[in-house]
Amino acid sequence: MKYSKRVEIFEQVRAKYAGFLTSVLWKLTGDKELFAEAMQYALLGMWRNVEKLNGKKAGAYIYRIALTANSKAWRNRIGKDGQISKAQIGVESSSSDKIEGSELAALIRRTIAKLPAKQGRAIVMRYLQQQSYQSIAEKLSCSEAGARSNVSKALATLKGKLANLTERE
Amino acid sequence: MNNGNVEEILNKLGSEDVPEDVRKIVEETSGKFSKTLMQSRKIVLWENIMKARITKLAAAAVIIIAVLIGINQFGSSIDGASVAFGDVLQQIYKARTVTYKETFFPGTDREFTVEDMRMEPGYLHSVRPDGPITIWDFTRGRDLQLWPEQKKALITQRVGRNRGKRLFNYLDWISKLHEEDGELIGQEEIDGQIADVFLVQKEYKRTTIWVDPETNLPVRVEMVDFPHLDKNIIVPHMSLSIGDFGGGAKAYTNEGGDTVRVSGRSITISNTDGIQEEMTIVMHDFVWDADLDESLFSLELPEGYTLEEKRFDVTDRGEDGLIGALAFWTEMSDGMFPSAINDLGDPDKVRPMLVNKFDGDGDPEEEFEQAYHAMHEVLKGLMFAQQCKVEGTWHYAGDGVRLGDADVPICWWKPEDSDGYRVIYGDLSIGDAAVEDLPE
Repeated sequence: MKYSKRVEIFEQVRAKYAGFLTSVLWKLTGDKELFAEAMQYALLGMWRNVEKLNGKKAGAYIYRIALTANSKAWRNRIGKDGQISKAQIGVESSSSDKIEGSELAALIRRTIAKLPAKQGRAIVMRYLQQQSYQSIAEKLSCSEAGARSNVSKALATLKGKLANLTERE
Repeated sequence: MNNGNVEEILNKLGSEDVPEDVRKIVEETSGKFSKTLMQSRKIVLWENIMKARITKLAAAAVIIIAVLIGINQFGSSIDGASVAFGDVLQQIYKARTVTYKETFFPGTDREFTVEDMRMEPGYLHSVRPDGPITIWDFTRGRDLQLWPEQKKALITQRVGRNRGKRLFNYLDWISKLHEEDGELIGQEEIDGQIADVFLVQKEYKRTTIWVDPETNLPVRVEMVDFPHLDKNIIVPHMSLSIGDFGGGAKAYTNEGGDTVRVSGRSITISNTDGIQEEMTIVMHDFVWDADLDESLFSLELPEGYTLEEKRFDVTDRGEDGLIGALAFWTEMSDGMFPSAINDLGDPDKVRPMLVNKFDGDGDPEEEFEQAYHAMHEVLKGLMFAQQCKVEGTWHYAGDGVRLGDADVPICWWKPEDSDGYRVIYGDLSIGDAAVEDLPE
């Protein structure tokens, strides 16, 4: 495909998914710097997969791109050892100040970035986008019971990882 | 910390609105990204113009400056954010997929063309002209061969070699070869379009690359491999037939009703230091960043195929491999060492030894596999000797010598960065020796 054509399609899909990416990445990062970095990775992911985003499975790819971008941004922040100082979590500047347990909120975001891909998608769809199980089932190509199971497993993994994390810290 | 309220917090995160200043970040980031895409295009074009007119070094400086400008423009745009956009920007240039045809001219009239599809990182889907397909996963050292007519599949797992931490990126290599090592030698019309022509000349390989000035990507690549000038340096190669072990050639009936026989396998070990046959390969009909489905690179068994699995040991045993090869030879030749080291690659001598050692009353396929493994080990030992010849320090004195005498040097060579020599003696022991202690 010609470069100019790719750019044209990229602009179309960017416009189409900008709202989705903004909402999901903000909820997943809660920190402006981290958000900006994740957004850049997401744009790069869209650029590299622009043909797929113009196709039938675009809905599935955009989730993958968003969660991969979020994981990369968090990985850059956290580093290889998985350690991060509380000052770096972004608690102070995050809008999660408005909710109870802002420290736990930051830890939850950080932990979602480490979840297996399917579980990460399940958490995002169910809690951050507040979708019905029927809608989740369609997007994950499984039954409604399967969607419930995925969300339940993801939540259990998340709690397990959080427990480990809080024990270490 | 109480995890009981995790769901509650998740729900609260889900109901959060996006602040207005975050929306501004999005607008700014998206706008700059789009602008960068357009600038990337200009940089590529500019790079080619500069290459044609000034030295490569000066052109490289221009590109670096241009990229830095891009980084600075972007990096300073986000309030307080020191993001790693340099990495992101560079990745915009990288192609993720490529398809091309590859025509082989092996020095005879048996030229043939394969169709290749590659996807980053490390996947190759290759279709041979007679139908078989091979899918490589270089990240795992594994490949799947498919014979669609016979509905037969073979998975081969390569073992014994540590892969580097960074996987060799073929797409990066082939797309930047002309920039890294090439010399611009002119322009030619190819398929109705003007292309810049670059030459990369190495001791035993000459590569000519035709590059589209607009995209800065190759449209045609011609690689010519030359054998070593020393005719005593040979390419370890041998084939083995299952029929030698009492097995019938495996036969399949294809869709056209013809009987196809698969009777054996061969091994060739070569490298780019001149241990290679003369061969010309032309890559053409490139399509960069083709829209390829990931399923093309799946190593999952297609429905209806019968599967065979094999392991292929690519361990480089170095000098131990040579000792192993000599041990096999002396075992099968009444204790006598080969008259010349290249005898280890002579099929008329080695094949009968393999049959003598492994052909028995057992399962022919198992015997064949054992013999095939032994043949591979002999060829690896021979390869080690050829490499020593390339380095110019190889000596062989095994002609007429019988296994057993610990004082008789059979062969010796000087390892790189060593003052002395390594020596294999007549009892197949190995040690170090000074040059004055060795035969003239």
